[in-house]
Amino acid sequence: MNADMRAALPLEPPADFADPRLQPSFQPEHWPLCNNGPAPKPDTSDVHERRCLEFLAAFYRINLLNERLLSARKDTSPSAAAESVLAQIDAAMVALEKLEDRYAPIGFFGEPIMEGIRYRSIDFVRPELPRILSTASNSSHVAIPGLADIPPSELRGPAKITRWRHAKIDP
Amino acid sequence: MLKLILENWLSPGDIVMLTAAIRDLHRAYPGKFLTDVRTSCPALWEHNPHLAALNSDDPEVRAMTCHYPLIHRCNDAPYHFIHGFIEYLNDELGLRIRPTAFKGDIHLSAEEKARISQVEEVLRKPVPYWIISAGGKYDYTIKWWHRRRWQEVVDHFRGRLLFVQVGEKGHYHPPLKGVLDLRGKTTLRELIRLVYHADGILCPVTLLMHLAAAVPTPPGRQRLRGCVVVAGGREPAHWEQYPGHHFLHTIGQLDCCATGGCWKARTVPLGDGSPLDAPESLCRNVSVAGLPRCMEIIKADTVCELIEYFTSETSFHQKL
Repeated sequence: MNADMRAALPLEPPADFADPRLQPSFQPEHWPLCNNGPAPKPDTSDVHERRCLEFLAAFYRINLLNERLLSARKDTSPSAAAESVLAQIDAAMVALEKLEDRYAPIGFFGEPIMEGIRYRSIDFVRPELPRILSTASNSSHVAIPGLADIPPSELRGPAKITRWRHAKIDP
Repeated sequence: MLKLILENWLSPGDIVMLTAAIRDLHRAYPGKFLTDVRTSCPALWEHNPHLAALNSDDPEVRAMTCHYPLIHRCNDAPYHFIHGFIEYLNDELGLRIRPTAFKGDIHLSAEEKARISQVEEVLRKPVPYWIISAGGKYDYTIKWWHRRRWQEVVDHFRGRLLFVQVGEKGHYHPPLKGVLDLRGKTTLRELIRLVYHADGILCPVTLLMHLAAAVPTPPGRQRLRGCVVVAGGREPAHWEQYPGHHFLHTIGQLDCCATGGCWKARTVPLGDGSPLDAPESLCRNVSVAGLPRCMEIIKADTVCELIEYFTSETSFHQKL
């Protein structure tokens, strides 16, 4: 199971992900901002930006449907149309939650900033490199549990030294 | 009088442990040492009576970087993290320091203690609350529980117990619904004051767990501050747990932590170029939901029940 998960990593949008902005029916007024600014370009190769796009597309979908719901409720005989849109909104919310779950192991999520019922902007965190890197050279300890118990005869092959400092691995 | 500058640049939780060592050094050898520190978290040392301003250039000063190699034996040896720096100082300086309190040593000024809590400032009335940390740094993602489970706990207590969510900006702290959101809004010093007024803390293995014990309680409060730690199998309970805390661990329950903490770093690789992505640092027992198995088997219901013990004496006695 773990091997399956690792094979799929680093997590990024599926190969068939379609950027809504490239669709003929795209309605830019419903496309949220990204960190209060313009979204990454559709052809970006940066994995973080590609993840952002996947989330922005999910929130865009909900914005779009919310607008349709408002329109449906203005109609003279709105119930059937509105119910249909409501069902689509439910599905879009479930899809968003699944998306959030999929990325949860790596801690990637989009935090929406609302304007009424509209997702105006989505905030994303680009993780900083672990701070341990900046001070790693201080280490002088080997702290791999059980390492001392391995007989030297079993320590064969090319040397690969992993240093640990207070249970935190050094580069 | 020996002048010592003790240095450590690890995470805040580690520094809290160093505060305990310095307290106990002075209790074991009153008047024998002048101590100062160089650490990553100066805020943890404010109002600490055991510090004196020492100059690194002073030829009488002995500066030393503090480690806690005791951690290498933590799975088997009967020690708490609080022994870590103490044993190191004993070994390096030929001392016989002993732990004198089962907590770190965080001090607040009289003014800080007198101020109302940030929660009261927001709500304009005193309200009992627990602090919740629903995430952490990106380096040790294996410590994370699933955001939905944190939310389940909050939902369980809706209308009965206020949770105040905290977390450093730039770390992984997904927003929870139905909480007072102070994420990214507290300095470390403000966090200490928030803890001071808190009835309890719910968190993974993190700084807050140490602060729950190390930060004093307001006058008149008889009981220890509550704390429920969702820990899993990374670190042995006896190394981390404080008196009165519930430390939800799985040591001995899974093959990957059958005899002790696994001390792995990440659940899955992040692809950020960190050596913590190396296979030997990754969890080898990940659930389909993307959680370490040891965290997966800790359910929200269990956490809720434990918090109920802290928040309702009636329910506690009924359980007995």
